[in-house]
Amino acid sequence: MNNLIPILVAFPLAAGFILALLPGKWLKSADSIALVASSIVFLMAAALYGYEGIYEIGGWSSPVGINLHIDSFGWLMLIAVSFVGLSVMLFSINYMKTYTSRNRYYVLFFMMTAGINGTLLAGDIFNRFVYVELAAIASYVLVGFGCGAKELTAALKYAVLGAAASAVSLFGIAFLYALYGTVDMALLGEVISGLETVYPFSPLHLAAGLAITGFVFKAAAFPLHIWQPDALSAAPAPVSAIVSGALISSTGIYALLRTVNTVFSGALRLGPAVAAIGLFSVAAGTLTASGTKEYKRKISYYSISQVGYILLGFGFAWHLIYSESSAAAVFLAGSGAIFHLLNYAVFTPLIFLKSGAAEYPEKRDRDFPGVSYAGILSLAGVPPFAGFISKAMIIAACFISGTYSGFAAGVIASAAAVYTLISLTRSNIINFRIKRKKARNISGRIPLLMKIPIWSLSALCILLWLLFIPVLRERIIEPARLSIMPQVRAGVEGSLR
Amino acid sequence: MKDRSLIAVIISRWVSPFIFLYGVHLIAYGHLSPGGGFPGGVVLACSFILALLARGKLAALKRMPYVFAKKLDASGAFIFLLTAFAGLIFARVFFLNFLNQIFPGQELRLFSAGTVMINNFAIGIKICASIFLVILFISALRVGKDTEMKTMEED
Amino acid sequence: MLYTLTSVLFLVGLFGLLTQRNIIKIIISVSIIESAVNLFLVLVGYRKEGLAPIITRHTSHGKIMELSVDPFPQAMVVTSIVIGLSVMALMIAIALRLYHIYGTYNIDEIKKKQEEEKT
Repeated sequence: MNNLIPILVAFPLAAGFILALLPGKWLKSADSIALVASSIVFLMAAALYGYEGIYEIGGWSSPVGINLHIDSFGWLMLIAVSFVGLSVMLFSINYMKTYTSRNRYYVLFFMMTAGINGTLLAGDIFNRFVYVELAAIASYVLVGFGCGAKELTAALKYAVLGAAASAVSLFGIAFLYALYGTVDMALLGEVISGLETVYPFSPLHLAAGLAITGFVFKAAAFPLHIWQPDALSAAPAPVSAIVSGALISSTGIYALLRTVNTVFSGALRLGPAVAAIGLFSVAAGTLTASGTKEYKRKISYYSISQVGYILLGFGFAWHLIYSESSAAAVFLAGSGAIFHLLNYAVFTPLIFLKSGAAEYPEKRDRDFPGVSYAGILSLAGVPPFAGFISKAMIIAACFISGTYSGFAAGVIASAAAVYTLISLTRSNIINFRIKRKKARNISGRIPLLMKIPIWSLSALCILLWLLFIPVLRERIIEPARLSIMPQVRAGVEGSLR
Repeated sequence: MKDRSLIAVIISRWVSPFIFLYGVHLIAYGHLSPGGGFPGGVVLACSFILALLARGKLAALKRMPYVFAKKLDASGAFIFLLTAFAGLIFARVFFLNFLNQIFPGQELRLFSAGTVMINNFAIGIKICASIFLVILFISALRVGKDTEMKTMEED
Repeated sequence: MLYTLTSVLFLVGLFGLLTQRNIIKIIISVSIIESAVNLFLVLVGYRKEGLAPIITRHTSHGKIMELSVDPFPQAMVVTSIVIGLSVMALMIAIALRLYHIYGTYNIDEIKKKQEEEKT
């Protein structure tokens, strides 16, 4: 069981290299190899259900060696992400036939999978950075995979900004190493929480800000979100499905949360900062989305605002956990944010896959978006869909916290949610009436292999409600929430206030 | 075909085996002295890139065919992963240096430090092939002959 | 002092990234940023008159721990150099492809041409 942890990183890489080594005659079997490999990755992730532990690579223990670390939040994200990865793989087998050299797409896909799994598992901050980079480099290439002018400009913008952001992040990591002499996240957390006093504007603040910046970029949150709309509207549909919701953004959020919680939460109160980033992303994403006409671009702005909701929830939970009066608000904000993260990892890929299915046999018919109603409604937060309850939980947490800042955040967040709901449903109802006939024609043309992922993800948009049932919630969401919340210790409290 | 300087052609022909040899040395003694897979691989690639610059693409491709470089690239990384998996299979820990008992770490001994040397060679092969490919692609793109790229890809 | 200089170098790169309009110059700015970070990492591990962190017959384990430079940042630098190299190669390849299509490296002109294509 324990041995599965490193294999989850190594196996996708091995699959990628085998695909790269395939001789020319065997290229036809690349599809099935890729499919089998990604379902094995999913099965391995599912086998880790409920597992918590640390794996020391090469038998070297913590301060010297590299370790991989998994806990409740880790396996939850791992299962979600590899399920989405499997469905995207199912979808892209037919879709990528419209492109040349499908084999390389698979190689890059598996590199990205390895990077993402590594990001979810890494136990020290430098290795997390390396895995994030591995996934990011593969995604730079995948965004520009079509080699058209639009794709290439988007990929260049993404790559340049990404390289700069990750250099900033590395600067922060180097700072942390210079200050405390280790990069192991658990050890760093211990050292930092043992600090007597932290002055305002200390080197620690600088290091935290620098280290987080790179992950904010990958999560596509407010100040650094500008790459995402370009990249998502230009990339091939499965790639934008991966890059948006499922993988790069969610793992960026995950890395951000882990870094903030494990490393800095002992001494710094970054909760308000994270919540502010989230709130600004909500506002900026919703406002800019209303001004854009192109469908994919609009969706990607809305997805930025969803990232904002997630960060808002987590930041709020971290902020409120220190005041005993609002345990209910902490619960609502924390589990709402985790729930919304899962929803976000399901509905954004679904929307992009559906719009890709509309483009399928004749390439690039961008005027007619294939609208996924389940995904759109879940994003907008319409009641029967799971997106409603998670968003409502986060907003409710803001209101019942009993602070003025919480109330203001709640007002802005709920206004944005209502606005999203109205504008998305209205534009799609109009769209639906006009294009219904065309949509029927299209659904006949799509092969079954492309329909399966769309159906299963649409079903998940509703079925994720089940996670709200107390039995499942206590098994799945609660441990994840507890593992991402800072440990409140009585002694430290007084000195930090 | 442009006229190439005779001096450059002949000197590069003489020098590149020595560069290659130095790269092999850097990789082979990587666990004993400064060097190792990455620098050694870069030096190995330099010997091919020198041929590319001095004698043109065809001469370089004759030494390191395109398809062969691609396979070498993937197989280098694959060997690295295999040693990692071998640690899992033989010693129950991923990436464990399972040959350490047979070739214990000794100073100034070529066969020492277990799997480190295998890893160095794998990385060296991979880096050599991939840097050569990067330079090859960039030079093909610079000339601006898309047809040339395509013929290469079809091979 | 040296730490300050690396951050100055970092800011130089950032300035170039924000102000330059030529793709190649932007890529150079990114590489300046990366080398600033690498320099900082090497300086973190540096120790004046330190030994190379290799255990030989003449240097015992304790002596290494006491006197040698820190090998860990060097490992980090090698990793980040490799990452930087691959991103650099990718960016240059994309820039060359764009040059094929538009015949220019200037971002403003590329944008202008893209808008012309739209209308």
